[in-house]
Amino acid sequence: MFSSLKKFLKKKKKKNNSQNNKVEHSNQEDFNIELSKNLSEDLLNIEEMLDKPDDLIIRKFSIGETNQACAVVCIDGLVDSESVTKKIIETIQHAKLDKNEKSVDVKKFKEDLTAHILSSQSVNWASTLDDVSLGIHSGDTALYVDGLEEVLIIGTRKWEERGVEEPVTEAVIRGPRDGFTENIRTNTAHVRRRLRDPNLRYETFKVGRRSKNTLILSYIDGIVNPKIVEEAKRRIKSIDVDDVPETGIVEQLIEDSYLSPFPQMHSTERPDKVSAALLEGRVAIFLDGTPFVLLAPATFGQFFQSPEDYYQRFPIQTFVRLLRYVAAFIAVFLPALYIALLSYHPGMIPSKLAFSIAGTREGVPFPAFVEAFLMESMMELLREAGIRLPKPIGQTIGIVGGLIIGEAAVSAGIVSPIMVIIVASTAVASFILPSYGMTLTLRMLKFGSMFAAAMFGLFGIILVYIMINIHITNLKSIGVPYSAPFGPFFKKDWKDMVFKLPESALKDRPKMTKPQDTNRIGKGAKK
Amino acid sequence: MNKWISYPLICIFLLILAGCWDRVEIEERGFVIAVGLDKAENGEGFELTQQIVVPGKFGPDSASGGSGDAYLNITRQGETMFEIIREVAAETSRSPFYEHFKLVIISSELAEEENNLPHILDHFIRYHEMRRATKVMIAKGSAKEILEVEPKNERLPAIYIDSISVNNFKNSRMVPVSRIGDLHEQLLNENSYTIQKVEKGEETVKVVGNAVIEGKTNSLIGFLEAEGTEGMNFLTGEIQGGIIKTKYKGQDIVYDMKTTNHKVKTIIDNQNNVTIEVKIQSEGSIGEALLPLNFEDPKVIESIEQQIEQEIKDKVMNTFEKVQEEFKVDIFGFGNYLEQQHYQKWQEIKKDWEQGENYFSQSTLKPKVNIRIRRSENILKSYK
Repeated sequence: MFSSLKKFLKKKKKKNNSQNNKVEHSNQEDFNIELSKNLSEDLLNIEEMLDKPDDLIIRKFSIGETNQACAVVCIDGLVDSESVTKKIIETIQHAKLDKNEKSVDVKKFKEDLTAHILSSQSVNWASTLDDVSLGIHSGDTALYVDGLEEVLIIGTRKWEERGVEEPVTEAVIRGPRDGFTENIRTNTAHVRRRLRDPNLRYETFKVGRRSKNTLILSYIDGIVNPKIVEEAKRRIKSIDVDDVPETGIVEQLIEDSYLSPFPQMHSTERPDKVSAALLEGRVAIFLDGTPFVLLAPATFGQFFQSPEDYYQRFPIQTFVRLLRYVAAFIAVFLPALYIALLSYHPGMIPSKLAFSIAGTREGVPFPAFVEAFLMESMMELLREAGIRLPKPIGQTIGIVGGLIIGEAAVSAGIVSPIMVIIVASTAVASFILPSYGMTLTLRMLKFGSMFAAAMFGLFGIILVYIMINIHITNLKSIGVPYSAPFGPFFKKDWKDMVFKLPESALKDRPKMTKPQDTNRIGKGAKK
Repeated sequence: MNKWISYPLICIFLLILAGCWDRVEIEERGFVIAVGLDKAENGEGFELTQQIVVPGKFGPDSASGGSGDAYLNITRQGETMFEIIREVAAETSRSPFYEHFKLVIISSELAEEENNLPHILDHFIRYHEMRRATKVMIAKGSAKEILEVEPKNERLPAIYIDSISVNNFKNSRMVPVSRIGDLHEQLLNENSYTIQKVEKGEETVKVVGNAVIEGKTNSLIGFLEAEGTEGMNFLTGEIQGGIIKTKYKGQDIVYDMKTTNHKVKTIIDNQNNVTIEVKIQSEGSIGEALLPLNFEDPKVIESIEQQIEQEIKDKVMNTFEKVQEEFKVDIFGFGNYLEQQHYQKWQEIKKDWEQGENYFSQSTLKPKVNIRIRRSENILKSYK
C-alpha cells in the first residue's frame, strides 16, 4: 500500500519537475539582455528592470579630468559606502591618464582599470543585465563606462550581521564554542581555519530561481568517495524552486526518502563537527543565510554522537553513548510499555508494584491509553509553547506546565502519579539526544507506539519495533545505507558507534562511506 | 472506491476490529494472591477461600483509602476449583486475576485423602494465568484460618506467609519452598516428597517442619516436626544456614552455619543391603557462648567442633530412624543417588525400594560430619 502511495507521489513530483523546467527557460530569456555600449541606455535598462527602487544608488561621474562618463550602480545597505566612495569613485576621478587628457581610449582604460587603477580584491567583467543584477543584489558595485560593452562588478559587500556566537542547539561542556553564522563566507572560513588541507574543496552553486542563493558543496578531495560527490552534485543541480532560505529545505529537496520520519542528513551549527565529518569522507552543504550546515551521507548512529564524545575521556563517553541508546528506547517505548503492561499484562509487573499502581489508579476515570495520551499531548503542547515564547516567559511555562498542571491533574484524580513520572522521564530521555531532528522523530514515533500498545499490548509494541527497524534498514542517505554499520555489517566501524574506543584505536576512517583514503592515523613520528 | 479512501479505511478497520479485545485495566482486576483449600462442610467437594487484594487500601497514600483491611477473603464451596473461582467472578466487581497468585494452602484433612492432591493442583498447574512459582503449603488444621491471620508488619496475610516461607537460609528447621512447578515434577516422577507445613500460632503463623507425602498414593502420611526437619535438611543438602545449639562443659554454645557441603555415596551388596554414606561439611562461626572460652587455643576449638559434629550426627540419625520406622518412604531422595551410582541394581530393586520389601527402611546410614569454626565473630572473650 505504501509503495503505491510512494509511486503516486513520485509521478506527481516528476510532472512538477518537467513543468518547472519549462518555466525556467522562459524566465531566463527575459533577463538575458545583452548590454549596449550606451551608458544612459544601460542605466535606463537597469532602472526599468528594478522599477526604480529607493535603495538603488546610481552615481554618474567622469574619469579623471576628461568628459568620459561612467557610473557606479549599487544597492544601499548591501555595500560598504565608504569603500564605494573612496576606493572606486575617488580613485577613478583622480586617475592619472598619461596620453590624452581630454579623451579616453576606452579599450586601454578597460585594461588599466583592473591593472592599475582599482585596488579592490574582487573584480569581474559582466556582459549581461542578468549578471549585473545578481552582482548588485549580492552587495557588489557595478561600474558602467560609456562606450564599453561590459560592466565591471567590484566586490564591496558589507552588511549588518550577527556575530559568531555559541551554538544554541548543540551545546558542549568541553569543546570549541564558536558556531556558524548566517554569512556563508564566515562559515566556510570557520572550516578552512580548522582544515588547512589544500585538498579541501568548495564548489559553488546558485540555487533558487528567484532568490539565487549561494550554496557551497564542500568535501576533501582524496578522502571522499567520488560517487558520493557526483550524486550530491546531481541532486543539488536538480533543485529548482523559487527560494531556498534554509538548509532544511535543501535537505527535503535532495533526500532519498521524503516520506520517512527520520532525518537523512545531519544538520549542525558546529564547525568542528563539519571538519570531522569531512575527514570521515562525508560532504558538507553550506547555504548562505543560515547557520545550519548539512552533513551527508548521514547514518542512524551518527545522530547519537556528540563532538564532546571525542573531547572527553573514552570510558565515560562510551557510557554516555550507551545512555543515549537507552534513552532513545525510553523516549519511544516507555509510555507504550506503561499502557501495555497496565491494560494487558499486569502479571509482568512485580506484585507489590502492581498493587500499588492499581491503588493509585483507583478513581482515575480513563483507561491507561487515554491517560497517557492526555499527558503526552500536554507535554508536547508545553514544549512547543516553550519554544515560541520569549525566554523569560518560556521558563514560566515550564513551571506552570510541569509543576502546577502535573500536580493539579494528580490531585484532581485525572491521572495517576505514576503517569506523571512516566511522562517526565520520557521527556527527559528524548532531550538527551544531541540531534534535535532525531529527537522530534522519536517523539512522533512515541505516539505511534502508544497507539499500537493500546490496541495490541506488548504484541503491538513489538510490531512497531519491527516496522521501525525494517524502515531504517530500507533507508539510504546519498546511497549509503542508513543503518550502517549495524545493517550492512562493518566490524571496524563499531569502534566508534555504540562504544567509543580510545582515539589511538580509531585507526581507520568509517568504512560505510567507502573513503578513498582509509587510514586516519600515521605510524607515529619518525625521529 | 478510490484507493485514497479505501486503504486508510481498511487500515482503521483492521486495527479497530482486531485490537483491544482482551483489554482489562489494571484497576479493574481482582488480584487473587492466595487460595486456601478445606474440605467442604457436607463432606463432598471443596471449600475454597480466595484472598483478593483491595488496592485502594494498599497504595502509598493510605489516608485516602481509609481504614480497613487491604484484602478480602471470599469463601465458596463447590466440586471443582474452576467452578468456584468463576462463581466468585459473578459476585465481585473485579474479576479474579491469577497472574500475581502466590500461595496455595491445602488443609491436612484434604491432603490425607488418596490422590486428592493431584486433583486439587490440576487447575492451578493447568490454567494459563497460573505461574509455576506459586508456592504450595500444607496447613495443619484449617487453611481458611491461616489466611485470616492479621500480621503486624505486612498488610496482606499472603505476602506475610510468602515472605516467611523463604527464610530457610536463616533457619535450618524450615525446608525450602515447594513451588507448584516442582510439585508437578514430583507428581510425574512418583517420588515421595515433602511440602512446607504451615501452622497457626496465637497471633502469627509458623512455617516450620514439613508434611510428608507418599509418592505412590500422593497422600499426606504425616508431619515431620521441627527437629526432624533439621536432620532431613542435613541429609538432603538443602541446608542454607541456621544454627546448631550444643553443650560444652555443661553450658550452651550456638554454632552459626555459613556454608555447608554435602556428598552422598551409596553402597549396595548382593543381599541388597543398602548403606548410605553422607558426608556433611560445614564452616561457620560461634554466634553465642554462655561460658568464657579461650578461642586462641586450638584445642578448645577442636573440642567444640567435635561436640557440634556429634550433635549433628545425632540429629541426622534420629531423623533417619524416625522416617524409616514411622513413614517408611524415602523423602531424602536417596533413591535418585542409587539410580545414578548403581543403575543396574536399581532397576532390580526399584519396585521394592519404598513398597514391598521396603529396602529403604532396612538401609543403614553412616553420617560423616566435618565442622570447621572459622571465626569467633567480633570478640575472643566476653568475660573472664
